[in-house]
Amino acid sequence: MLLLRLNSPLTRADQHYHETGSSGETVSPSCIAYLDNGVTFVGSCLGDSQLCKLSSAADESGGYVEILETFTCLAPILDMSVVDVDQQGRDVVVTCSGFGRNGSLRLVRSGVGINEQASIDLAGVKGVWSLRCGTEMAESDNTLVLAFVGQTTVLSLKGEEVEETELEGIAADQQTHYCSNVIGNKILQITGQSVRLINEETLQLVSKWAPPSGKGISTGSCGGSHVVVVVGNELFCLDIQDSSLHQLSHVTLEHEIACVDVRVLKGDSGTSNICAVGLWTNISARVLRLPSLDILHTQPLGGDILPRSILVAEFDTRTYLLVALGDGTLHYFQMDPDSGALTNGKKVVLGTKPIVLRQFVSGDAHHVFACSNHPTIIHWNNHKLLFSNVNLKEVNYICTLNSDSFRDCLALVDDNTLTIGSLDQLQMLHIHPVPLAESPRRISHQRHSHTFLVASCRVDVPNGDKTALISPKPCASKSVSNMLEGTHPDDLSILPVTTTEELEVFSLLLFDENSLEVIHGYQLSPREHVTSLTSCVLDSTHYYAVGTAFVDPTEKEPNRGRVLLFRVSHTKVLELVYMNDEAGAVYQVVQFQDKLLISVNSEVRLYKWEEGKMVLECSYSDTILALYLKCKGDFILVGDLMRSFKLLVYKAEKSVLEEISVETSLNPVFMTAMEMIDDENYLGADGRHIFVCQKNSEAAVEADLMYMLQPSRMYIGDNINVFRHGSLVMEHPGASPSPIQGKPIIYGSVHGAVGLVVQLDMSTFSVLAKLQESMAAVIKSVGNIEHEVYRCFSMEHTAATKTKSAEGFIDGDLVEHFLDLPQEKMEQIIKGIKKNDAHGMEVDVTVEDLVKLIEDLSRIH
Amino acid sequence: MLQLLTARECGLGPPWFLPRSYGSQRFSELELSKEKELGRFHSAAVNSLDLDCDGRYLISGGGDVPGSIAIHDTARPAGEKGLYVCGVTVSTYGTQNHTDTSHAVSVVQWFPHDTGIFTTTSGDRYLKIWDTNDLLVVEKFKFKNPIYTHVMSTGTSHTLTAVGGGECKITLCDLVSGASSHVLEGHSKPVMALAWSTACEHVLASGSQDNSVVLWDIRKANGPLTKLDQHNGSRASSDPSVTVAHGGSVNGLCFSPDGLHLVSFGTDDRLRLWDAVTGKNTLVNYGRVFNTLPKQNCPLAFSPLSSTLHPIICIPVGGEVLMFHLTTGKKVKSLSGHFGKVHSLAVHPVEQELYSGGTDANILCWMPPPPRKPSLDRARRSNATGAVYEDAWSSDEDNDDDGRH
Repeated sequence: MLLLRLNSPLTRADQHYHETGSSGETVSPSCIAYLDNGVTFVGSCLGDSQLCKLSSAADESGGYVEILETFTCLAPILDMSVVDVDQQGRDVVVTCSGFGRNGSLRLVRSGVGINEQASIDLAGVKGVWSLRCGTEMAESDNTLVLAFVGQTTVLSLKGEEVEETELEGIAADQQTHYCSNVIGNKILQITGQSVRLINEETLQLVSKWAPPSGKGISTGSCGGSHVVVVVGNELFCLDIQDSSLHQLSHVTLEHEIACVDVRVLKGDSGTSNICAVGLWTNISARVLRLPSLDILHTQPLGGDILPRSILVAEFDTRTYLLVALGDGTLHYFQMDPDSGALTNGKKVVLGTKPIVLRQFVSGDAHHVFACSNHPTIIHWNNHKLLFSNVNLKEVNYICTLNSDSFRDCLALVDDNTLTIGSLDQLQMLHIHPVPLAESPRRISHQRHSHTFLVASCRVDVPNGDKTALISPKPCASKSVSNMLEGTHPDDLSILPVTTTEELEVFSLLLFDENSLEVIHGYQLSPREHVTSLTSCVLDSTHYYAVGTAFVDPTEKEPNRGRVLLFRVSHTKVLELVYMNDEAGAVYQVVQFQDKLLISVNSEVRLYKWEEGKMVLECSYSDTILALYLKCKGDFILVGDLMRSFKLLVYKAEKSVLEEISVETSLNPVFMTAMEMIDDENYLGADGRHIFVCQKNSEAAVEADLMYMLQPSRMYIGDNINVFRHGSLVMEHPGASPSPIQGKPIIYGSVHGAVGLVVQLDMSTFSVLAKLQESMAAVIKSVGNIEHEVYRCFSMEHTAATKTKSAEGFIDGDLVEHFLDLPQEKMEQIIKGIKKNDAHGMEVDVTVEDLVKLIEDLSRIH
Repeated sequence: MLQLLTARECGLGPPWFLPRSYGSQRFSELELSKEKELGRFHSAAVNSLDLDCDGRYLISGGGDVPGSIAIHDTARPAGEKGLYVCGVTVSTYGTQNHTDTSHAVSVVQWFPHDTGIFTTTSGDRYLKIWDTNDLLVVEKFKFKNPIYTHVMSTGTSHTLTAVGGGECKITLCDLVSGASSHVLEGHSKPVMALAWSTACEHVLASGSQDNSVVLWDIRKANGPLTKLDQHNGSRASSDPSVTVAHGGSVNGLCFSPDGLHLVSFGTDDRLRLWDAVTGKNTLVNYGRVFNTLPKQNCPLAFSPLSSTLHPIICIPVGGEVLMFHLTTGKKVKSLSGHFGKVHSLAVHPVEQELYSGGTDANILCWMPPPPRKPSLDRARRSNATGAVYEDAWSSDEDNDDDGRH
């Protein structure tokens, strides 16, 4: 940032500016706004925007600029890689974002993050609860009770220190099933042998109760003043009185009880104590009233897997009963607090291991944490239950922790550690930057070697007296200690590098998959630009194939380039295995069956890999510039610079690439990205629209088979750079039939937007299309532009004659607004929308159906 | 090109920069097309050409007697390799008895919005409106003097066709009602060129043999809007023949696609660029552009608005088509390939394609060269040795078609 000071007062017509010298470094700005008091906002579309404070005194590094706040921005997304790094069925999107010195890799995950504040290595913890105890009438939690098999440990929290202590009243030689502070300043501990009531201050055992039959207690829970204890198939209800535990009632159920939960609910007719149990054998959930233990409602759950955890949760105005089964399925029902009746049952799959449901408090709201190998938080938002994935591998148990030094935190237990951390706000996309200080251009992931290869570019500038080129620092490519360097091919004559002009230097950086640190690098020869990058398997060896171009500033088009093949060795080092000279810029390199398909300027070439050499098999050259290539099976989709799609098929017997379908109705369209949705449908984007083209397989006239149809198009308003198949959110197999078909496609754009395109089936689409139309009439957009007009597809060249209306696409953002509308508006909008019910008859659609459908859709992102 | 692609990816420049720079480059490389050829149909000069709004059908009017009209389908089917000869889909010859086209056709024009109608004027002093599918005249307007030019309005609020001819006044014929009573008077000599404004659909520009260019608003009853003055009012004179647009008859007029500029061409061999809003001469110097069609309307054509960085204007001069940069006046290229004088021009509304017809009865198609197959040897040769030693003959590699390289 340069600060220019006016030399003379503003009254003069010609003003002189005095440069005060470089004040400091900020992000490359696109706009600057001065707010007040030395604070300026530097807005950037090439990196994160910043709020800076200008001070008149230099700080320790000699700069005058202090950065107050940074606003994350992914722009421009040049390339991205959608990878399932944790093998959890949930993809992480790694984007190459930023330009120049603001370049960085960004990891985009959907979910809730945990900010770890402390962690202790402890194996085998089966349960954790937080207590407040002691003589000082503590306001916040100061003790953690940990249950192990056969013993219980107590940790006391003094400030940030955690220390193992012993509390007299707590039985340390038995596994604890439940422990908490209860009314009357007491602590309750339910162990395998007895139920103990302990005075909070003195920590002395006040009362103890053991089951009369002498059998062990399997589990128990407490709510209000009632304690419910499970012994085999018997339920005991105890009442906590001043200094004793008094058995109120007892009931024997037909089968063994697997899990229990007690809750005090506020219904319309006063408070009621509800106990919910899950049973073995006859897999069901029962709702019982306390203290009488009368069965209010029985809900069969179906299936053979028994319920492992049950929870009655009160969200805002509604009460839900959640039952988690041993295979990771969660059933949830709406419960009426007075009658205990269960309605509106739904099912969702969260993980593959048994789930433990625990309620916790975050901020002021109660949420439910489902601990499993896909930890999820269930929370209530805007009259609907939402499931958010948590960015953790596995969680076994949690409890709320609100101590002096750990405010509003959770204590989480997994197999080996106890972690104390706070939850992020429940936001959806979690972005983690890896700054590189140079522009990343292309990225590719190789699962086999657990690495990412990133092609990045830095600009070397001449130094003061123009004798040498120096690189900006710090930057990632200069931080690699043992960088390999490439050289020119011998017969290449290209404008030599001088020390008087800026030079772009490209390098390939090898990153480790998990830690995202640079482990090795390869610097390309001068004037060699990386244009494409992919990971491929040739002859059962994994390679990284890099396509490059030699750029001569005096020529219009590059007419030399190379394909480089690298292998990552066991020691995580890049080895250059093979180089192949090409007569043009290698715009794309993709793997095709077990061969390599590349596009060189206007030609598409297929190479076989034989005996360590690339051998040309066949080629196709009827394009202006083949910029994009995607393949599936035997089909190759070529995206041209100006002529949109061409579909080629590879005929193995004749060893030839043949053109079978061409898209002509959109000419000319300068495509920026494309993807094959499936064998017949292709998604493309030009600078402002997205469109789908379809191969015409059933044309009446044979000549028409060559031309693609164009069933859908829409104005998206953004310049999309890359499409990739993938999904940010874990799929829930086995849940209610998903409204989407196939895998979603994620896109990244120049302005840093990440979006999702999914395919709907025909009936869902027709319902949503009509809904979209009615909603457009009701919801006013910014500037009062009609939705239809905004989204229409117009070719910019000719006037209104070439504007076609958007069709075939549903605007997801608009449709999801439906859920935010008040009930009456919803009813008004859905008038006239019909759908086909199960018998094929046309039925009016209800608000409930639509809400359910849109909720399902909103969960896929 | 790689720099342009990277800039587009990073959002460094405006998104239209890549398509327009590439379009400009292609325009500057226009040459006789190696992919398409139009079969010879007419037996005399091709007097007029027009491409429809999609850029697919080219209608040509010939100067042979009796007049002939042909509609060519210029779409090259996908999958065709090599030179494709575009066929004539529909054509008509006049016969001695058949009075439809018994004279040479002077101007043909498609209906601007679709290909259902086209209009012609010919030496028989009629403006005829044809139905394309049946090839029959559905409406005729008779005039007393020879007609030099007619243009159909591209606006949507009215369907007027302006006709200019020996009558010194401009007649506006309404296609819907069949009336031709609306007349614009003001010129003292025959009107040779007409153009509707592309920005405002009620504004018409006319050029006549009295050396003036007049702008009319057809809604205004009492007279022209303004008369264009080549000296911009700086030469005060009572002699009206000085403060006119040209030093000779104005026989070519064209508005730029954005409606901001008007180009006029006169027999004084000058091309002038006018600001369409203020009527001032922008004084851009195009050099001496010989006017080789002094007795008839000379067609001018613009490059499509969004396909080039800077607009380009194309003019037929003698046997060549000259292309000039609109705002700088620099000559971009001259396309020579006709054996006789070029009489007509049509530019594709979207792509970089040009059709020209001349007295040699040929219609030539001009396109940017198809991309050359990348060849390592050629690349190596062009790098290694200088141009002096390089062979100008095409080598075998240009004819390769399956990967042997």
